[in-house]
Amino acid sequence: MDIYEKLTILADAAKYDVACTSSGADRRGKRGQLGNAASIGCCHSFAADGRCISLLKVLMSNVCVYDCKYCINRRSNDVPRAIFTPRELADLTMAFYRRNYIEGLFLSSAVVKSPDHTCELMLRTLRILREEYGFRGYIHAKAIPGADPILIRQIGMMADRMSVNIELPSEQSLQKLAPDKQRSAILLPMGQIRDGIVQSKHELVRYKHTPKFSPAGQSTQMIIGATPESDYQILRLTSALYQKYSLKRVFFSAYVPVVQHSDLPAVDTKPPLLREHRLYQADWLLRFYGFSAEEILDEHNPYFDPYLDPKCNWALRHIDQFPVEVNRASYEMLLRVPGIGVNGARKIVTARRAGQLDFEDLKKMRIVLKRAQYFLTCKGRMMQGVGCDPRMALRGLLQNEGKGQAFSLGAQQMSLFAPTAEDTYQCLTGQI
Amino acid sequence: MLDRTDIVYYYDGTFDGLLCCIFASYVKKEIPLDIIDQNGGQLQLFAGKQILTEKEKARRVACGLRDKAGKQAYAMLQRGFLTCLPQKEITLLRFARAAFAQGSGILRMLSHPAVLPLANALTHLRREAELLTGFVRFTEYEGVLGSVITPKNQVLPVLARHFCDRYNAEAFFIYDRTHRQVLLHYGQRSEIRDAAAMEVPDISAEEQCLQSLWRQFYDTIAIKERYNPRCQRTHMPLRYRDNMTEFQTVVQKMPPGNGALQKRAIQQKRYGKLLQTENRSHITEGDSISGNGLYDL
Repeated sequence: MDIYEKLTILADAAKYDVACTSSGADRRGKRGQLGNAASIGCCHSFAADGRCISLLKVLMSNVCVYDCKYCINRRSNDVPRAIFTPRELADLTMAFYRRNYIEGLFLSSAVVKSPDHTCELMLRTLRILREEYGFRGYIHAKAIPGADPILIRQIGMMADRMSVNIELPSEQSLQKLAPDKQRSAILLPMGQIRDGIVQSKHELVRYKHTPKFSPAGQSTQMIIGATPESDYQILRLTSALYQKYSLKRVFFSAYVPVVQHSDLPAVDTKPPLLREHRLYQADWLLRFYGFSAEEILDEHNPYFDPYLDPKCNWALRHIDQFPVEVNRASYEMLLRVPGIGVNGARKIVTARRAGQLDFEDLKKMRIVLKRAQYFLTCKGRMMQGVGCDPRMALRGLLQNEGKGQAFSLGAQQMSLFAPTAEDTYQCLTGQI
Repeated sequence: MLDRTDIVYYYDGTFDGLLCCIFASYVKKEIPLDIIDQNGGQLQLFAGKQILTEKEKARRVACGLRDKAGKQAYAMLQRGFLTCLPQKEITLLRFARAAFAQGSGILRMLSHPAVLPLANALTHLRREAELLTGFVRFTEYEGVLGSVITPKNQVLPVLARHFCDRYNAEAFFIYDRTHRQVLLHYGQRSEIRDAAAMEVPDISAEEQCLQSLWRQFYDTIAIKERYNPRCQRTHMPLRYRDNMTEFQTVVQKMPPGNGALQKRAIQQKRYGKLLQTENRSHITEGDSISGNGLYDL
């Protein structure tokens, strides 16, 4: 089997992995060596599904001893199998990197023979890249649950980011769909990586040149829509992962039916893209906007509104805190205004030091008022023709999409209808 | 008092030349109607003043601006000169005058009429350079890496830092076909030169092999259930794709083991329609790089 076929098989098997980001590591180039890394990351291309291609995302091998029902590489599935040799993969990475096709390598693997054996193969690849070729680009490596902690530690010394897939949002689902995997076995390496990162940071303070352990942190991913968990459960889990395991990112992957099985959604089910989109919106609120999971959803509203994004939804339920005055509101409160993001809030805070701002100024600064107008005052006044009334705001927010008249305004009735055009659009254009 | 005249300044198209225009505008106490690059080939319709470039005057303006409004404001002026803003010279002159008047506070006046167009143009430049750090595609020609780009702004000075750091041990060039400039890097040295055209040799079989590997990876990694060309276009506008390996349609030899010549008809079908509707006037100028067999293997 030549490298062309291997690449086809092993890229195809890796395509459902979502965490293809190259952010978090900052490393200048070094004379005579290839590569550097920037903490903002870099997208090198976008595939036909609109997802960013940043890293050479492949599996070391798709030969697997496990039989997880949702997975295309499960033992009982009849698909072509392949294994890269460490040398082949390292050479391919270098060749692609030199031509600026990629930002680095994303190396995951099915479990060949045993977790230890798989980790050793991956480690050999990373050794060739880092030690023999002096590669300074980005490397994201998956830790294989069940592998020896020493191996995971060694991989972490070579990689920029590590991740362990939590796979499914609850233990019951995991038992049902991935009987070979244990939740505790997944959380164990996650904890080890967290501790390794903390320890490495402490050592760096004392010894400048101590090698770094997974300097770009760790991430995880879970499959959405294959199992019955509510959005609230998923969001609480996400929030807990950020807090307890200090993760950089939690990725969500809308389940694409690849297998016919009684425990799984039917094969003709569409991937729940809108739901995935809403989860990412909420994830951003957790990480950058100072929201907590309980503010976004709760026991009584365990699912996202298909019409309104989580931030609009929160603002309408807390209309008593609005409108806020652009020229006086704190940065934290500006961040909570629907339609104003981190960039917008920063621009406002900078510009208002130079003088009082009006709606015209906001427009000039390219702050989009489509949503924000219902929640803002400038110099004590709302925008002409706009009042701060939840019903009016709701009507306006929906009318913006040209669909407002079609809906009645009762919030309970709303959820009976299909998602608005805007939601469909956002979920179509949204990048994960 | 300031005169708003109907006079036009002609300058030599260099940054120092522009600084001298700013100098002249202060000396004569006038704001010109426009500042035009005399090499730009425009008809000289208006009464014009030829502004001579003098190093000393340029230095005085540069130092003055740095003292008065800070390094950051001066950097904005320098960067602004690289943008594709229409009448960028007059916009930069207005910005410089505002910066002299307001001092460093100018950086915070985001909605000031002299700052706003420049700030937006700079965002455009920054965005384009950011995208291109990812979208530049090198091809190996006998050990030298080469790439062609067609940006709207003059991004080479911005890109140079990134690529010279990343590929410091390589010899490479990036040719900007819009502005006919080339960034050369070899043996730890780099420079940007004007180049009317760029000739490259044919690529080797090995290189073709690698390119087909990359195209195969690119096609394989997409999930067809999530096919979403609109999202793809949002993040990667069509105008960049002409220069990217994964979108180039070629007849090529497949790597050993597969043997036969194969046409990449699938991709042509998939993207051909999109590409036809795009305005491609900027590459049909008949310059030597587009017709030298780089794309028609």
